[in-house]
Amino acid sequence: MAERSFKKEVQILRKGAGEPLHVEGILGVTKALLQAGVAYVGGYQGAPISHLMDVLNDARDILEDLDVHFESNGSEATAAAMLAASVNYPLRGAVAWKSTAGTNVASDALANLASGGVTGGALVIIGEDYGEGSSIMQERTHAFAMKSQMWLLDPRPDLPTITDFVEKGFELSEASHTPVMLELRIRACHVHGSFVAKDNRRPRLSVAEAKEAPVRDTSRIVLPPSSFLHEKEKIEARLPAAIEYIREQRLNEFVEGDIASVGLILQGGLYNTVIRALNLLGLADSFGTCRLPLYIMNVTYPYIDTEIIDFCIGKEAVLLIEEGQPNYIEQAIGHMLRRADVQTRLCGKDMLPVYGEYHGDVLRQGIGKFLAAVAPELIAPASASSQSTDAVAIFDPEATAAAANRIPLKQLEEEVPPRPVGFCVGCPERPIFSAIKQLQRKIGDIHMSCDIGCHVFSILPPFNLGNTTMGYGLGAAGGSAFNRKAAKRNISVMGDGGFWHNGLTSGIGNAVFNRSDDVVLIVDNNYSAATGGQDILSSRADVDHRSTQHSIENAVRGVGVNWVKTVDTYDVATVKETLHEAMTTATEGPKVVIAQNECMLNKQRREKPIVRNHIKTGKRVVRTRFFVDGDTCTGDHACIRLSGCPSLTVRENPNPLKSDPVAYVDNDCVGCGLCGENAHTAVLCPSFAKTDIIFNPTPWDRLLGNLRGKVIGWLQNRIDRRLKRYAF
Amino acid sequence: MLKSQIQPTKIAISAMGGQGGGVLADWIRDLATSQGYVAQSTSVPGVAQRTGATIYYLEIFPETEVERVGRQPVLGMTPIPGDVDILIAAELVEAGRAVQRGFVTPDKTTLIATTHRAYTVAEKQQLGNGLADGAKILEAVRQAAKSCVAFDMEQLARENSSVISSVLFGALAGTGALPFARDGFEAAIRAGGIAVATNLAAFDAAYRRAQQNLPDPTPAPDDELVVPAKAATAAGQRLLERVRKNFPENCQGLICEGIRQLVDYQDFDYAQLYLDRLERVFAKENPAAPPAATDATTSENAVTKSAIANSKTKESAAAENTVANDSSQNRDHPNRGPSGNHLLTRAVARHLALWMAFQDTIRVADQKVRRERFERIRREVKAEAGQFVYPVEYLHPRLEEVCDSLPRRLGAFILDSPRLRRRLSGLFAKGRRVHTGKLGGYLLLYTLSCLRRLRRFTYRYSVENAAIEAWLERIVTTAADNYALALRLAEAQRLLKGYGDTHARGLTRFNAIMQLVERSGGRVAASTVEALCQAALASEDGSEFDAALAAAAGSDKAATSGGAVPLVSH
Repeated sequence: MAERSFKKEVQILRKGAGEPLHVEGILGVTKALLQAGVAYVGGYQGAPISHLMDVLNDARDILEDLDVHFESNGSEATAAAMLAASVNYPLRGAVAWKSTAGTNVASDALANLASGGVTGGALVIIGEDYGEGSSIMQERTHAFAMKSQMWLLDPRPDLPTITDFVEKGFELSEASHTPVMLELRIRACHVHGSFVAKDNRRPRLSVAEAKEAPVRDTSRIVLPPSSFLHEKEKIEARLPAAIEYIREQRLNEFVEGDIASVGLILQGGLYNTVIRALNLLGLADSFGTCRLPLYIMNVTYPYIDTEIIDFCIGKEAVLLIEEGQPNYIEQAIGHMLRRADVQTRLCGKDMLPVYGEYHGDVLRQGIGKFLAAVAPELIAPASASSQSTDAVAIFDPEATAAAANRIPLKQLEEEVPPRPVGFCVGCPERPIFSAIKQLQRKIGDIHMSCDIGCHVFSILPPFNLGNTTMGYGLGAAGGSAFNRKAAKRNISVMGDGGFWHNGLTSGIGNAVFNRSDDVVLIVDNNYSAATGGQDILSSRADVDHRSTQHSIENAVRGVGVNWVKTVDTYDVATVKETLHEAMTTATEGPKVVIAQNECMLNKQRREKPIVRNHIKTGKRVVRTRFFVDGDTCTGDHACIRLSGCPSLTVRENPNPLKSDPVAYVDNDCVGCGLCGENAHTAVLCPSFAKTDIIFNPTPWDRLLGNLRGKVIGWLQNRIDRRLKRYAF
Repeated sequence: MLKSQIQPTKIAISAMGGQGGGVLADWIRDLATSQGYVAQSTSVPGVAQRTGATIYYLEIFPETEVERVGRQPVLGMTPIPGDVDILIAAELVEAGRAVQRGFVTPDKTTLIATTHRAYTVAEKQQLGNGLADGAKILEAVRQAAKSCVAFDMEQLARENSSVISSVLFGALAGTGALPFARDGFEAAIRAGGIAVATNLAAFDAAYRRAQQNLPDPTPAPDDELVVPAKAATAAGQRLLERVRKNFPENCQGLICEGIRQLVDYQDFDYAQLYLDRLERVFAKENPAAPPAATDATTSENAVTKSAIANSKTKESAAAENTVANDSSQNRDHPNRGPSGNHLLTRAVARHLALWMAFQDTIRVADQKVRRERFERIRREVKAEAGQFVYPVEYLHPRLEEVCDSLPRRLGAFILDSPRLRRRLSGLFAKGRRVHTGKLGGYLLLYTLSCLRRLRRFTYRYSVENAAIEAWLERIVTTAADNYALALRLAEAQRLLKGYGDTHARGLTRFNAIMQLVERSGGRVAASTVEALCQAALASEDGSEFDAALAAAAGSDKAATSGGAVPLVSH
């Protein structure tokens, strides 16, 4: 069960022609796929495209009705390879993943797919995880498009354009026999807007029909001599076909402006932000009416040289707005203009930052700088009137503060602490790192190779554990060089998601084969939790349309690991002991510890309504949460340094003589028990208590409870009498 | 040639992942759409959002203008510094962060901010007080906004059994910053269909609160440490009279609090011992004056709790001055603080009381069995009247803690014998869960708490009281010729806290500082001691402390050999 249920939203997928839909970008894409007559869809979850996978998982009836096949693929490589179905058959297929992380994984299959080319439209929906909110290395997918000769769409980020480009993407793919990538930035995936629906279309040919009548064409297979012919075909046939389609369909857009001497060339995905920047500079209105001419590249690869040259001719200067680096487009346009001997000045990364997201402020400054350099008259007269001065003023917080003379930014700088991401309340992964932190006290610091997943938050305070992270499922692989006899072993971490993605072979298999003596810790929380709680092979739940409950332990043993132990993550003492044993045992070969417990987000989502219902219907329920005695708490916060749970927080010391804030458990506590475990295993202060709160007590509960209350109350009366005698 | 002058309304929500900012964004979007506006919202979900700072962004644009121009507006994807009309902050530090990023500016931004804090790991994990100063942040964000509605919205949400989103939404409606009537807002909540009744109640409360735009009430003055007019018991009255007679007014509030805690901890005699000890210090601080209450006239006589609790109090600041003016002050009044503040007496009054109420197993048991505590637990877990609530204590008494409560000789005998220690510690290697809500567990702790009467015979008592005497002696002797150092030595007691490893760590560092002072013959600079204390609280592993100690010891040698070089640590 995914983090979010889309049962309600999927009904949108049924809407017919003419109905206006108000949806999130990625849902619009999903609907557009059905409108385009897609025959099969796949992908691997990961923000910002997780919702596409989640929606399709929740939309099985609709997919069945349309005869569309949907798979939650094992990895992006699997997803890319799945597009092989479009090589021989006129099947439209689409896959989705987070990029460039996923494109890196997929690139073997993508390169083979792009070499032989496709018959049916093949669309890769790319969630470009770049800039603010990104959780991966900062790179561009553009390079993959160029190297494999795939076409890259980067449409304007409004729903009508995005959804239209899904259909256009399939057509372009079919017209040029080339797989196409549809790139959507993070916020475009999650933009909520509206578009008008079209009717869904059944695929012209279904996957089953294709399977029943196989077609074979050896010239599409990447083997010499065909592979050499593919390269020739790419340049001589597919590229021209693509260019023709793009020109004919006017996928790229020209916007006229009343100022003819300068213009802007931009990636389509940046359009809204560019318009806003121009608006703030007084050069565009809220509808995109613009004083400067624009060339909007909704297709960022291939380049349509003639369009670009036409745009540049007659202008003194153009500014290319290209996000990310290297500046591939700028290099290409420079080359084009030189070849065509066009003397228009090309500006780009000289006016704009070389790297980083191009958000509104960056563009306002960059375009302002460009205009100041090439067309100062557009700005100069403006400084006469106060309103226009405002238009070109570039926002500088310090300057604004000084001008307003009242924003005490320095005061904020001193007081505002950073708030990085971290483990959720009650997360089952946190106790593992509490245990490792305690283990380090015993045996010294440990080299840890981390993986991708929530567990990588171990590198942050308060745990400060982990040295490197090399990619999804590559935790064990990242520790493999240390496979030498040494006084101390290292620990590699891997999540269950990464394990099934590739870690079983790249990490565990590799360790067995190379006779590694180190320790691998597999964090099994029942889901691919970091990407939104999607089910995977080892999920404990019964999922009607997938095969789950495949044990990680069996898989690990199956590839030849002899030393495997499965522990409950919340049992800190056992986790600590087991890891200590793994670090010190004389047994040879890799030592695998599987730390197992369910993702608390998913568990709470499942159980909360049940518990609420039980309480309502009169069933006996015991709710657990933790509590800290403020009087007993030392204010040292050792417990927090071993936990970092958001619900284990602090508040004012109840003792007026003490100044340090005391620990405090707020009402978000889910009673996971880690506080108590840590208090025991690390011998913390005696201020932690678990409280069991009984709802709908049985008669026996009442009898016992009343008896206990009577005796304890009597003793407390005695205490009160003494306290009265000893009052000051 | 531009066709329209109308700008979208730009709204940013600054929140923490998992706080429900998405719900609020949905409400605002649905509201705008229902009121004839084009609305667009964006966010950044995914792992990047787990509990961290995040921003939701919306733009809304009037349909009337869309119809006039005949095109769809181009709406922005991210907030632009200096160009946000409404900023909604679901946590105070996030409001501060939004101001830092330029999303709140005096020319246009309406700021709706809660004043509650969700502390960050960076703040919580400190060994002492690492909390950001919320008042300063609030002051700054108020100044940054064109208009500001700020109050504790989390509290209001709790009071209405709702979530902060409803309160923020109500406050937004109350400011009138959006051109929509109240019933439109309420319709959006109803359309959401979840917890409608409580959400509407919270909305209503927030709406009214925002319309009045009242700040949070200032904390009631009931936390001042005042001298009671009359003690509750005769023995208490004798103590009170002794305080009134022998100590200046500006110390009395603190001392009374110390007495209150020590009587609660042990008995009246123990509080008398506290005053005996304190008088020795006061005599040194005020040798000229007769032991009378009339001496102090210049200082405030009630010390507020917050002034004491805050590490940067007036006292510390004054102490800072004292340290800075070491030589000049000492020339005039070698054994006095500036202008009769009685800093030393007050510091000792506070730290002596804390030390004398050392936390042994008896004390822990005593705190766990009280009725007031049972009631506090019920309140905190929101138990209903009559509901059964069973606390389970996580206790881990080690051999050391057990020996603490044994008779002095027996405790010492066991702890001094490596063989016995080894044999017995196995018995106490595991943590224990004690069910204080059930009879067995309660009786165990109750019995333990009754050992209070025998506390004076315990091993721990003898150890602690010997250490207290040594510490006092050092303060008293130092006060004569280095007042500032004596003050810092008194304050160094703050390193002694906790149980087990925490206590051992603090004690080791405290002793190291005392030994340094001892070795130098009292010639360590006060600032060095203060720097060492801060270093001791910098981290658990003690790397900062070890470095500071080595530096101080090094300059100590230099000072001894070189004569008059002052010991100043960075």
